[in-house]
Formats: sequence, C-alpha cells, structure tokens
Amino acid sequence: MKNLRLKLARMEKDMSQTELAKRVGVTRQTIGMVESGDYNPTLNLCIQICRELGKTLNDLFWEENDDEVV
Amino acid sequence: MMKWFSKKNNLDEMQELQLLKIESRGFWIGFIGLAAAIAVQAFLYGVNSAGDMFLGEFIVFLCMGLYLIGNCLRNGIWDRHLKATPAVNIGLSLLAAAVTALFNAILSYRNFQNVSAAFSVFITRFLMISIVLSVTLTLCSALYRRRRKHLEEESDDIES
Repeated sequence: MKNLRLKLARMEKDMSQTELAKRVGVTRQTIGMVESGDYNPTLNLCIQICRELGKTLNDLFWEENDDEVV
Repeated sequence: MMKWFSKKNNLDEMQELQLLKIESRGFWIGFIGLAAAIAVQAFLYGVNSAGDMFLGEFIVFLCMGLYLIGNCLRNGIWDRHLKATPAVNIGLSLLAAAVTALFNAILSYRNFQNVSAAFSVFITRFLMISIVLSVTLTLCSALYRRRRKHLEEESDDIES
C-alpha cells in the first residue's frame, strides 16, 4: 500500500526524496520504495524518517483497521 | 590507505535485504545446479565412476546441505511451509526415495537392459532410501523440537 502520508509530509517540508534519503542515511531508491509501499522499513528507519519530518510514527506509519473504532 | 575497501557497510537496510535475497537465490541456483550436474554425470558416466567424475561436486553439495541443516537446527528453524510432523517426514521420505530409486532403476536399465534387474534396483533403493530418510528426518525433527523448546525457554529468561 502506498504511503501517501509520508510523501505529503516530505513535500510539506519541501524536501526531495534524495534530500530525505541523505538525512536518514539511506539511498533515494529506498525512500522511493517506502513511499510506493514496495519496502517495509525497519522501526529504526521509521523513527529516523519521523524525526527528520517532525512527525510521529502514528502520523506516518500507523494504519487503522476498517473495523476499529477511532 | 585502502580507499576501495571500507569495513563499514556501504549498503542501506533495503539494499542489504535485496543483496541477501540475491545471495539466497544464488545459493539455491548453485545447490540445484550441483544436484543436476551430479545427476547428469551419473546418467552419462554411471554411478560407479563417482570417484573419478563427480566426487568434487558431491562433496560441495554435501557441505552445502550440511551447512543448511546445521544452521537451521541451531536457530530452531524447520521450513517455511512444511511442519515437522511424522506424517510429513514419512511422506517426504517416500517421495524422495521414489524419485531417487526411479533414477537408479533407469540407470540400471540403461546399463544392463534388464527390466527385472531394474525393478529390483528400484525396490531395494526405494526401501533403503525411504528408511534412511525417515530415520534422518525423524532425528532432525526431534533435534529441531528440542532446540525450539530451548530457545523459547531462553526468551522467557531474558524477559523475566
């Protein structure tokens, strides 16, 4: 599943995939694959991405179940 | 100063995962390729010429298999899809024995053109291999269960 929240958060910060990748110490391809949902990042990378974008894990990576009461 | 080599991993976690997948596929290609090479050579030159023709391949194949089995058992891993139950072990043993015995029977027929001899080769090899494999798999699955239990208990100790 595509991670549009991550893409939006990155764009809000006016950051390119390359820039975010450089900041968290991975390749641009990895960020691209996280955004497109082709790669599930480790918790460490999720935390680093959240720190760089000023968001929480919930903001970027939490997915609610359809039957879950919010 | 060696600029072309660094002890630090140059890959990120996604690339590392991809490399592991590539290496894993490479291992299986090598493993199956060796089995195929041994089978083809046995078919072309006969099993009796093993010492001359494919001893090297056989040793490497055996080492790869032992490495896999040893490390999987040490880490309490059995298989992605199959369960370590007696029924599965016996079923697998019978299947592998049937394939190997059939191969040996074909080789025997090719060498001696004798159907009854080939049939007896099939029966003896089938019985021999199925018994040896069943015992080996049963032993390995018992070791796996013991190791699994040990690892689970070890995890409890760490938590407490």
